[in-house]
Amino acid sequence: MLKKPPKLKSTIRSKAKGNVDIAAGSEAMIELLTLLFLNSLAEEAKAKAFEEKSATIRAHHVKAVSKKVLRKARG
Amino acid sequence: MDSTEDLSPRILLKQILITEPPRTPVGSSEPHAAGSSEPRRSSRRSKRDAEPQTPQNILRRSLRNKIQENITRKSLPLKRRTASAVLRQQAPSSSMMFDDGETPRHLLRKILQTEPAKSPVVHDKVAPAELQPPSKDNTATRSHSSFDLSDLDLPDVTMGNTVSAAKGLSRKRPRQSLNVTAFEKRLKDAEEEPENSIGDHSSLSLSSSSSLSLKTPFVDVHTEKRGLQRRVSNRRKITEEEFSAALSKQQMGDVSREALQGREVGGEDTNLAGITLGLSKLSEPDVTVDIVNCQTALYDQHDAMTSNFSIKPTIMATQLQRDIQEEEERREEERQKSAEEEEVVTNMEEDEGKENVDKTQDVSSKPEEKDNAVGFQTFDLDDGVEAAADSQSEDVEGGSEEEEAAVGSQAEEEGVEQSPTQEETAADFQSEDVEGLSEEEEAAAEEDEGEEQSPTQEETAADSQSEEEEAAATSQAEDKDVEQSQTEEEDGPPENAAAASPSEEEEAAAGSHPEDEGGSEEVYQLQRDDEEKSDGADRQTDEDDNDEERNQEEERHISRRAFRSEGGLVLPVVTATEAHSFMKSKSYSALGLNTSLERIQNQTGKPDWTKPSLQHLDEDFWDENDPADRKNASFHLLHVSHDAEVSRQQEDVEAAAEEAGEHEEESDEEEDDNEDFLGKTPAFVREKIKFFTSSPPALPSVSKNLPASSASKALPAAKPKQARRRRTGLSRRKTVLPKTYLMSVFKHFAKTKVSADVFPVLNEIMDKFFDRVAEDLETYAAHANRKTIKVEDVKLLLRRYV
Repeated sequence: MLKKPPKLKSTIRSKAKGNVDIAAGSEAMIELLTLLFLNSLAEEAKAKAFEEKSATIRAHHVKAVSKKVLRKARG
Repeated sequence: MDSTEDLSPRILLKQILITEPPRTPVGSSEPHAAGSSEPRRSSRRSKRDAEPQTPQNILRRSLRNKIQENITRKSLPLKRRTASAVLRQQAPSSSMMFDDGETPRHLLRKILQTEPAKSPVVHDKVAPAELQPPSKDNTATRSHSSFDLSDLDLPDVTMGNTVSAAKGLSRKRPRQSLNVTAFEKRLKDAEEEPENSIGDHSSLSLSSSSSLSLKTPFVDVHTEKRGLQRRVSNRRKITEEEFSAALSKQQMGDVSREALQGREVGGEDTNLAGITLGLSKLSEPDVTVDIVNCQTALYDQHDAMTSNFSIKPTIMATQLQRDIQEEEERREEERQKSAEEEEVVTNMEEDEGKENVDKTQDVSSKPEEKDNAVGFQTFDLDDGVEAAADSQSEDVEGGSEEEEAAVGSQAEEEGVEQSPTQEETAADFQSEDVEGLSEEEEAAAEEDEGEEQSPTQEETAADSQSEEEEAAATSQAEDKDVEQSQTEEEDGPPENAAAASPSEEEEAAAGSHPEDEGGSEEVYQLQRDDEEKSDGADRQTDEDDNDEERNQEEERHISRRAFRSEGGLVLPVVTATEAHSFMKSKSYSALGLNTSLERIQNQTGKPDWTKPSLQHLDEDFWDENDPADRKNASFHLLHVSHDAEVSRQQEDVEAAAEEAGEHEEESDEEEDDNEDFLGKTPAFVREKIKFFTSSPPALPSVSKNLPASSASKALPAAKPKQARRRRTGLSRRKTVLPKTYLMSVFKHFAKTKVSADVFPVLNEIMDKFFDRVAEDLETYAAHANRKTIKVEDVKLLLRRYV
């Protein structure tokens, strides 16, 4: 696996409305969250690409499933 | 029962043969029976008692005995006697049992009566009488077998029933019944009552037997005796008669029985068919209905409309079929409706998507309207719209950019006029970035050439933001703004463009400043344009400014004209290419291309996004067709802009941009993205992508170009940072996650090939995702009265994925 995603902490902090700190352990958990999300996204995109009988995942495949997966992640 | 009954008569016969006591009246018979075969009788009685003492059973027994007697009589007279004796015995016994007076009992009684049980004389008479009929019956049945059927009408029906019923029970019994009927007929002469009564009371079998007896006892015997053989021949006629009887008598039940019987027999096909048809008619046309339904169901699966229609003509026959068709039609209509509904739903969804896009545009349109209030002309409107839209999304950045531009202009004695325009636009749009606006205003107030510079700024802004929100015509001003704002981020150019829009209007109105202002503008453009342009532009600004400006203006006009006309899209490209060819230096060509390209890009970016705003704005200036034209043009422009971008980016590469890595990557990606997105992505996505594309050139160029501007950068940098955090969406050019990391992870999870063009989409998705995650985590932490996101908060969030 790769090393921890760089700038993840700064990204989250930047996105957060208020100034919040991120604990060290939570950063790893957030990384887990992103991985889970990416996993589901990749899975859906793969299925969509297979649906169109394409072995390669293209941008429009991902875009088509993104909204659904995002909504699902949002709960 | 059968076995017992069978045994009993046999046993009786044997006993009778042995004993053969003369018959006496009932009472005497009984003692005889009792004396002769008390045990048997008792046995018989016991057996009979065990059996349900129904008249049927009793009759059956009697009939069997009679049949046996007949058989025996044929062979041996003694046997006959014995048979008769047996019958007599049976009769009295049965008569004894039938003291109730029921029909079978009555029959037996009569038998007894007829038999010489009452008196020796009577018995004798009866005996011979009995003997005779059975013999006669036998012969008659044998000879008149064929006649039997003919004589039967009603009885045939019943015959069938009885025979069928008898089959179920036993074949021997019917035979007995026949004999009984034969005897009964004899009895008729003596007494008609029993027959009638018998016929009335007895069940089907009994009644049939009685009826048969009434008419043709012989027939019964023959039919019953020969069973199957007879049935066929009998059945035929019977079927006919049955059919008639059925029609006359009852409904389904009888008919079905008869029909079944007829079918079983394999009688006349026509009759059977007629019966079946009749049945079908009488009964619900289940078959036809089913067929139709089945067919329709199958067809419905395929194509309700066509199939049903095709089926209909073939099936059309009866009212039921018609009804079925009507049902099908209804189904079809329902399906159509459902399909229409689905289409409507899909349309609704599409409309919703468009509405969403429109909403975003509407949001941006508000500031645009403000711009309109300022009094922008056509060009300015576009610029103002773009600027307004941009301003909303990225206020601080724009303000900072404007400030920078203003400062830069001041430093270079060029952007003075721009600043006021910028300030105006900034003031109109931005409510948040007051600081920036104020600074811009100050800077703008000092400069006089802001007007001229604004178009350049707009153009620059357009370059950086080309794919984002700007879609209006004010390409030049926007481009300039973009270029100027390259230092900061995307917001700057739109704002600058907005600010420049009014200035551009002034330019357009004046049109007299071209040379001088154009030079200054060009200087600005060169400076604010992409990296490479800045270098070249600075050197050649003086010389080429005029020319470029003229060309730019021409291009502007041409491009703007292009907005109105769908076909005009080619012109800007052509002009750009022409300008390119004409231009001597790369910078010139770049500038010309940039201006035209930026315009195009702005046009492309704008149409969808600024549609609602444009509608407001265009009322005065642009025709209502403009948005549509722009939209159409946008699609054309997409390709054009793409090409332009490619060319521009090529130039950028040639000029050796500073941030080549990010730039090129993003530019390449942008190119690819443009290719993929232009045609497919909605406007807002395109705009976002433009943000991406515009931001990189904006940053490096700005950082490079002017030391003064860089100095000014520091001031606005702090402010935009704060604003950036608040901003959402893809205002940030930088990706939330590094490309390599993101792509590698995605590829790992995808387990299949992943094209590189997914990265922008992925980036966008991750951006949204992180927004939500951060928001939720912050909420959780705040709920716990903490300012630090702890692991527990994230765990709570992870529950959502369970």
